[in-house]
Amino acid sequence: MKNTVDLLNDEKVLVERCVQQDRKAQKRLYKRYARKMYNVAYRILRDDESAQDALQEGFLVVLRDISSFRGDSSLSTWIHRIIVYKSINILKREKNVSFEKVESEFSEPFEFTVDEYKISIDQIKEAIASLSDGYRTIINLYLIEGYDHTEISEILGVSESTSRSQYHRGRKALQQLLKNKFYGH
Amino acid sequence: MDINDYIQKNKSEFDDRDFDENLVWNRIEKELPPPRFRIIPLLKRAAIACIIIISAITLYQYGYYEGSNRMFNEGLSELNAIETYYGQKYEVLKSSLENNNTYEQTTKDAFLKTMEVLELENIKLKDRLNRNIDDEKVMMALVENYKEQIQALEDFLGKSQMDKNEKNDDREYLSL
Repeated sequence: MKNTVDLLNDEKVLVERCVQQDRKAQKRLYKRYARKMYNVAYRILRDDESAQDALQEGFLVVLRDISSFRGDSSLSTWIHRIIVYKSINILKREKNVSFEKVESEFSEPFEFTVDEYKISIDQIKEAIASLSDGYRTIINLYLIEGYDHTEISEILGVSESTSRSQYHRGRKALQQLLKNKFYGH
Repeated sequence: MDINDYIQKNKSEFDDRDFDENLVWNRIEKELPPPRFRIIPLLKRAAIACIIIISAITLYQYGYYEGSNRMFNEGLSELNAIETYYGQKYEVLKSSLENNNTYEQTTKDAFLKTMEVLELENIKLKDRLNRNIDDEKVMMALVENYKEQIQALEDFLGKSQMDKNEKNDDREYLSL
């Protein structure tokens, strides 16, 4: 017979127990996704305290409203979306970021391959981190979190075309930053 | 490799930051509704325990116990039927033998001596049925035992009747 620990490894059982407000199951669910979700929030907010706030607010929603989880997507995807929404809300609230605002254009497109310049992941992370809040958010959502423009437009409350154009501008900005790093200007 | 592909391939390396998970959990826990799981399962467990106990008692009293008694009673009534039919028939034949005047007492004793093996077997079979009334094989063996004894008695008594008739015939013949 399976014991409680084994049963909680089963996602369906874990969700059922969380619906029943079983504290042990709630903590297990939090622990399972906390680190990954903290990193999602941190990539958007670039601040430890704000990322922890997003995590706290997000998991409170998850654990209070878990009965509304229908299983249409995976639990991980559902939690991920909630954490992203909370992070974006905090970003908008604390930094007054507008995703509609067109930032400076980069006139010289710079297409390159990572092999050619031997770019490391750390260098890319550093470059993304130094982007403006708007571009960084869209680059993160598209390139790292894996959302498409329809989903990004819903998350950010902008049109799909704005999401696309902001992404392309953000990508150019990222490439420019990497170019400056390697060419020193 | 394109930068998009490069990021996709190394996605896990972006989850590189750690934080105090317990600190955030303590903050979350304070705002969660009080757990009701521990209360309800205790009630559930108590209810389940009650159901199991009541079911066990019911099963014992009305199920297993009654069933066992029913089986015992069925076995007992079968034994009674055997005793009523074969047992009484045997007893009637045996008392007929005792009252029979055709044979000498020594002849009757000699016959009864041969029957002792079957009588002993009869006692043993009944003893086995006392220990397990549902043993059908023993029940059938008891029936066979009675049949053998009855057959033997009937044969013996039938022979005596024939002898008696023969004697009567002789008398009739002599009187002629």
